[in-house]
Amino acid sequence: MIDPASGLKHLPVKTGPSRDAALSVTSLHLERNGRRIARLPDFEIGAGQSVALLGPSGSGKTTALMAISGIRPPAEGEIHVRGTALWNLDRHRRDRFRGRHIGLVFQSFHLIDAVSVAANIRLAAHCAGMPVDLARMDELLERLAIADLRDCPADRISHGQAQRVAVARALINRPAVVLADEPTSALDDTATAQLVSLLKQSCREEGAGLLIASHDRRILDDVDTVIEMEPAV
Amino acid sequence: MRMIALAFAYLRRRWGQALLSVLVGALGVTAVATCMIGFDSVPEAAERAWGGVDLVVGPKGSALDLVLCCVLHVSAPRGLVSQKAALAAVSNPMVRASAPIALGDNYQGWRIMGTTPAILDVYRAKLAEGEMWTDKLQAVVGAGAARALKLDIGDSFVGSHGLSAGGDVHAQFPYKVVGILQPTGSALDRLILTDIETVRYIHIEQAKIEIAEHGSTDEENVANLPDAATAVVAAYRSPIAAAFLPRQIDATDILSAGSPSLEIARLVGYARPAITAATGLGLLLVVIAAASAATGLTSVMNARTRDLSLLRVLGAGRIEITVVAFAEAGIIAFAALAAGAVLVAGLAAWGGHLLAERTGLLLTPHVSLAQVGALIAGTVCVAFLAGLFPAIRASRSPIEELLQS
Repeated sequence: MIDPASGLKHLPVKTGPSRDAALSVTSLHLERNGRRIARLPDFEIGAGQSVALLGPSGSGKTTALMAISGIRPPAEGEIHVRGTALWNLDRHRRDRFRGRHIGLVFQSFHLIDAVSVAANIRLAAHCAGMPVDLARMDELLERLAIADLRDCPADRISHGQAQRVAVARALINRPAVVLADEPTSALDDTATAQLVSLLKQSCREEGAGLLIASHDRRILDDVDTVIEMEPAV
Repeated sequence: MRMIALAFAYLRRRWGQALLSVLVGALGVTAVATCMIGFDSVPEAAERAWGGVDLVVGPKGSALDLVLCCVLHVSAPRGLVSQKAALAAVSNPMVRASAPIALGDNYQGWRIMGTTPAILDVYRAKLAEGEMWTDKLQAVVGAGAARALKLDIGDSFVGSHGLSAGGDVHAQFPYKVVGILQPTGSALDRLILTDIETVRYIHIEQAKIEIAEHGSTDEENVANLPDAATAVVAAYRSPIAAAFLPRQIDATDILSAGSPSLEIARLVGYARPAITAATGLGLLLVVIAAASAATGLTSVMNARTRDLSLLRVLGAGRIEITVVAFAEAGIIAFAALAAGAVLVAGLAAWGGHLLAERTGLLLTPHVSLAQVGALIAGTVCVAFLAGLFPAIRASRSPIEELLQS
């Protein structure tokens, strides 16, 4: 659905969490330092679907990602990932659940410099308590065109290569949804288009939903739908 | 990739600092272990070296000197006694065997000791081959000396004056080897035995030659005391003898008695403060190594907050995060333990060789299971303490900051 006023493609209003949805967010209110700062419209992301969470800097996008990834609790609302109410899990289970079902791509990728590209990806499986599927890792490396970097130390690869490693790490555990926080803020137009295309294509191939939190309007044309941060009421 | 492998990767990345921590730790372990080993091994080596000798009787003077010179054979004699007087002093039903000894010559640094066949009874020694001497200038060689000097039955050699190599050679008085002793593990193994009359004969003849050539002689004492001996060594039949015989001998005007067990115990007593200080120094080194590892780990953990937060975001629990910190401390500690064990083994071999070469004491270093357990337990404690603060810090890594950075 395209908003004629803003020209943005908005998600249809949802009526409740669907068990088939990769991610379902209902009545989400966010707070920082005990003060409500923003709310999110209710939305769902299906497998292979890409959504941009749009808002200016300081509007609470990162706080929203923290709530959706099970890191910091929301003030109010429900978050379901593949039908599981995230905030009903205790901390240990939530950490494990995040590792297994939610892939994260950070603005500066945050690879561990001390180990190789392959070890960075394997760590994501190990931290989530999953067996390391080497064949799958090699397949991801092939698909992301970084197979030749497999044993390369992570601090010796380029920025573009690090992007791809971060995407591979986010996808290794076959997550339900990939959350990307401001992935394009330091990139030029070409690189921005390439990264969003890479994320979108990879998630579609893996059957994962994609939620990109960004203030960068250049990505709008590349995602399926857009939701906007709303001020707290 | 397991957390232990990650800890290894982190250590590889800062290998210089890690190596330094391992080296300091290894030195600490070496110092502590060497003291633990030395504390038992050196007295044991001395006990083996004195063999069956319970008492040594010599000229008036220090009992410790007598034991060091005439039982352990590591120092020079202080004077001479009359063999008759010394033997009379130990003539007692509670004495199992006694023999006079006369020192003064050597062959390539190995002591030639004039004595009587009764010396074998004192040390409970036996001939491996050949026979005891029946005439002057015949020698029976201790097992160690025979092996080192490559002496066999029928071989000849010439002694030289003094107790270390380099003295005037008694070229006119060649010895012939007539017997070789079985190993005893005592100082006897390092001696060349001959009839005490041979020693007197050589020195009296040497005195005559020197008087003829120079009008004087260094062998005056021997010439003036026909039954001169360095000391008499004795073995007790009954340990009760130890209670009064030495005191009785010390009460005379001309003789002193030394008990090897008492004097060695006294010597170890003197050394105990030094050993305790060395053990303390070793412990201090271990603590410094732990502090160095802990400081290094803490500063590294500060720089690694981002990585640890990332691991938590990826699903790792607090326990797994602390494992990384403890694993690094543990790897350093056990590397130090292993390096320390290698250093101790090398030091024991080298020190043992040096001690055997210089004093003849044979070290057989051994550590008990309890000592090994104490060393490992100590290492685990140190590793735990070194990793504790960094681990606490790591477990509290703020994962929100990762998303905000």
